Amino acid sequence: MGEVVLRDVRKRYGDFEAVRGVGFNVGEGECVVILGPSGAGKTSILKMVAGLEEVTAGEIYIDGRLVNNLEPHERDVAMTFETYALYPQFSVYDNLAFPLRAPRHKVPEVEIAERVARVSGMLGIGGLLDRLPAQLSQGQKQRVGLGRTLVREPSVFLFDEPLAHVDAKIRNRMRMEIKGIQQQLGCTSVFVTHDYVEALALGSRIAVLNKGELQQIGTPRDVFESPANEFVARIVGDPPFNFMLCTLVSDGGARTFVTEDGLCKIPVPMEVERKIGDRTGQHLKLGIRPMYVTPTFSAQEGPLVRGSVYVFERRETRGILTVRVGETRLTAMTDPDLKVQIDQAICLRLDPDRIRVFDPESTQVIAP
Amino acid sequence: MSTIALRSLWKKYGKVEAVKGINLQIQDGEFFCILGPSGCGKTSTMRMIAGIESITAGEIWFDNQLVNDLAPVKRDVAMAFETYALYPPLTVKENLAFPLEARGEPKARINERVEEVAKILDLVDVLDQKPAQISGGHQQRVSLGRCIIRKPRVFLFDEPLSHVDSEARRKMRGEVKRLQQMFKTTSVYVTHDQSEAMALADRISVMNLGEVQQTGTPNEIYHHPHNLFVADFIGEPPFNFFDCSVVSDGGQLAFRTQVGNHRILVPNTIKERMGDSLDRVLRVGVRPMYITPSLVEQEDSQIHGTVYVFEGLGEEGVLTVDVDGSLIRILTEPDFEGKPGDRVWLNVDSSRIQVFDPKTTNNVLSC
Repeated sequence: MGEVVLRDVRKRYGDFEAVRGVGFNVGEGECVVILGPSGAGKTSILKMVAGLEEVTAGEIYIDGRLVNNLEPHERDVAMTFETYALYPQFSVYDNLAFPLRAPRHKVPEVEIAERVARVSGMLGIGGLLDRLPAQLSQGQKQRVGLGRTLVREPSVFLFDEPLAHVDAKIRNRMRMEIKGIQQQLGCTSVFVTHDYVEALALGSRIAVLNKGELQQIGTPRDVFESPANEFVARIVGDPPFNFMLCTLVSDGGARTFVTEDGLCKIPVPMEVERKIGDRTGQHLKLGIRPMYVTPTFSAQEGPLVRGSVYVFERRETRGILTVRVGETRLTAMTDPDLKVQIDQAICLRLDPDRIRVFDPESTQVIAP
Repeated sequence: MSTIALRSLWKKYGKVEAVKGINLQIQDGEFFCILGPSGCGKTSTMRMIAGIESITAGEIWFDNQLVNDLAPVKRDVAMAFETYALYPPLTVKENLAFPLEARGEPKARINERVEEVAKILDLVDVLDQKPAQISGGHQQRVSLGRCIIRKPRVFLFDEPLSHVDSEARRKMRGEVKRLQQMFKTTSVYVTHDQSEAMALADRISVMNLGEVQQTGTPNEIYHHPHNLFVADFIGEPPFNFFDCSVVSDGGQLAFRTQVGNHRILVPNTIKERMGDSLDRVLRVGVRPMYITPSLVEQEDSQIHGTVYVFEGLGEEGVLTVDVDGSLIRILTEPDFEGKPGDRVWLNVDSSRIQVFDPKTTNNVLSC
């Protein structure tokens, strides 16, 4: 119940191709998050699954049925939108009951009462059923909006950036609760967001989208640790992925990555050496996550990069150290109490097991 | 360079008391954040410092000068606001030069300063371009450049990064911090974003409903919040709170949770400071980073519950545990093996707990 399949789906608005041959599956009970910047085409995809937009080419199946030509109400999906648009004249109860009272659903009042009680309990708004939207806080309105989708008990839930306009503290809390609800209900969901934290937290798999094209689909672990290209590497993680343009140099045996200005020499790690092939003399882009970069003050041997402190910022549980290395800036995640001065000389150690190599032209990952 | 002193500063809009007799002493060269939710009075305070809002009562001093009646332009402050308002027909170079030209500075001096500022802000490559031709990030730096080029006494920032997308925001934070550290210009930065204040400030003043709740360094405010408002406002995920009574467990004092009967040991370090609060119901707070979860019962486990949800967020994880119906959030490594419904035992770092009086909301441990 609730399996969704997209096959080579395309969407064109006039001359503009918003979605370009996207295909993926959402298994029963799975939550797939479509992650991408604004304009990537993610809402277009969601609307095509919902039936609110026509498919230009390709197929969409829900529960094994081809739904391309089915109206939204024939598809057994429910969608939440960015703006929750509650009916101001209806109480919370009536807002929640509204979708079930629509003529085509004809749910008996007794069952409506049961579902509203269950959903409002799950969302922690059971005590607010008599209130009008004007009497609710932002967070409470968000929950009622979500509740209106949950009461429908469809095969597939579609979420269109439901947390976009919410303060950080409320957003984090609601994200956690949404995950809890999803796990309790075991419902199939497709969730659209530009926020990578939501994608990592909520997705059993993440489909990364850019300019209408699927970049990578994988578990949060896959997308975080093994990004398929530069775009995926950059979109997930904070501080973002570090990149350094280097030349692959061979000095009789061991090969090294050398930065443009010749200041940094990083030996090619074993795992990378095996995959990289014969590219000696070529330009390559080295990448590594800040959590795998550590500052060190002693001039020891090893894969070290030398630079000077650009700025140090404290976060709650860690520090973010930005180091100027020639023309580039690299970031390292550090102890929050690190003491450094601006322009102080410093070395960074890169964890060789976490270095990834990208082709500067195609931006695809080459190794490991 | 300047110190700023606010003495019994009031602002009333008709009957509404927006700022209620606050006192602040900002040091020379300090990066000072005024932090609080919307409506707390932070923007009114900043506007009075700038001179663009009248003062109802009280005094504002810059060093030894009472500035209450001094027009904004005479106060030598530079304001960086949300909209950076660059002059579209002027090049970056001309935009940067503008404040100095307006002051009638000599051409040679202006060129020198523009070059200096362009170098610091990485704008050398775009000096001859117009605002419409450069990236958002560059535009923000030009805006900052226009502020710093005058070498004002004071920088005032009113939520300058509110409507900036998160990537640009992150980059700008670093730039603002770096600039301030290089120039050591006294800066007052207003924001509602606690993580921003914590990252940038030398000291923070937390405001709510027109009053200062606490002023201190990020460390002080984070580890020793004076009351429940500050404790709950700073840090994300926020403090976890347990209402407890104090019991004697075979000679050892412990906090016993009112729900669920869990026990958290009272460390000696705080026992003395608690004095006669020991006979009341107290609200004990622990930050998410000071709780360690285990899927196996440990000897020193103090609280137990079941896994509600685990969110793996790449660099770290957030584990939410259901403890007798309340949800407790814990920061963990990005991998955690527990599944919803699994029993989990929690160890609390007692040396890090904070204790509040639920009636007065004050921190019982603050002297």
